[in-house]
Amino acid sequence: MTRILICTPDHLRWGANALMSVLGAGPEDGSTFDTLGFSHKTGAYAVAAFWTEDNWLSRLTAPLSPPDWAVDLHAAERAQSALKILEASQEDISPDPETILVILGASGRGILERLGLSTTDID
Amino acid sequence: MLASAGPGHGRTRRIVRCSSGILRINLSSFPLASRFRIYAIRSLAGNHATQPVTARSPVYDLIGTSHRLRFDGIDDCLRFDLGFSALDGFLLAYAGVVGTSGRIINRGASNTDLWSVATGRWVATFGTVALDGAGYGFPLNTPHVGRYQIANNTAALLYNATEGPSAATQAKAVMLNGMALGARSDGVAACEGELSAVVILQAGTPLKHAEPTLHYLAATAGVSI
Repeated sequence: MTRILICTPDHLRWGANALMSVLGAGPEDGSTFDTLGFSHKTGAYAVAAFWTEDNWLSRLTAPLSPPDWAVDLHAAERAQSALKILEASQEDISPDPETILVILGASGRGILERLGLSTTDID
Repeated sequence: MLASAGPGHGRTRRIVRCSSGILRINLSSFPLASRFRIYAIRSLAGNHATQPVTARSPVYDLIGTSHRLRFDGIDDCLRFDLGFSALDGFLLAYAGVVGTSGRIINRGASNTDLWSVATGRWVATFGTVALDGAGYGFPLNTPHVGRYQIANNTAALLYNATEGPSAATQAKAVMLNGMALGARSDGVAACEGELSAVVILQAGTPLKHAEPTLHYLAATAGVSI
């Protein structure tokens, strides 16, 4: 099991959602990045964090097969080409507006600070 | 059936999941007081609290006989049906553990009110309070019981949520944040934490009737109040 965090910029969200749908348990996973809830000096990002198995990580970069539900497979494939996979132990990890950042081994909210991501608070 | 693939599958294996990956947590009828609408997360056989997106599902643990849902404070959250209008207000009580990072949102002005049953009527004020200090009296990483009053005048704040197609659904989406667990879809993140029980009472419930609920939760969490 690996804890991962995925950070996608706004213009790549459609493909990232399609990729999550293809790899996910159902079409609902195509809503994973619906919310652009995190801000960074380079722009706004959608973030998802979850535990996954090695098999899922292998499928993340493998040729995609269409699931049983409707999905934009081409968008998912474009999202794959935009993936940048890093280990959480690496230094100088930062969101990139041109890539979908996948961080392996990311645990807890501390990774958000390392990435320079912040959420909006309501007073 | 259990989901066979997808993010989080292994860690949520014991949660009842349908083939579409929807997390289903039962808010079963709470027998303590029939006069009020009271629900508690007591079993996993129902379908009241859901999270259709796999990556947002909290992790379920069964430790001994204690059910726990662990929220990552980043994107995990649950939605559930109040059974009544959130605009009417409600008292939300919970047993759980708040993690060491993140923030509580929509919490009370007085921290001791969160778990004291001797305070009397408890009225929430809404704000964002950092959780990283010891001065708030909030027992970090310690099982505790809290209760949370959401009053009519909070409706506007609840409307700020963006999850769900209707205002009512939006309010429901925020509710778990009110007890500092889960994350709002509009990016307002709560803190990491664990949840073992939730009890919801309609607004106007006299505190004397709420107290047995808190004692139930205290027993659930294994703490003295």
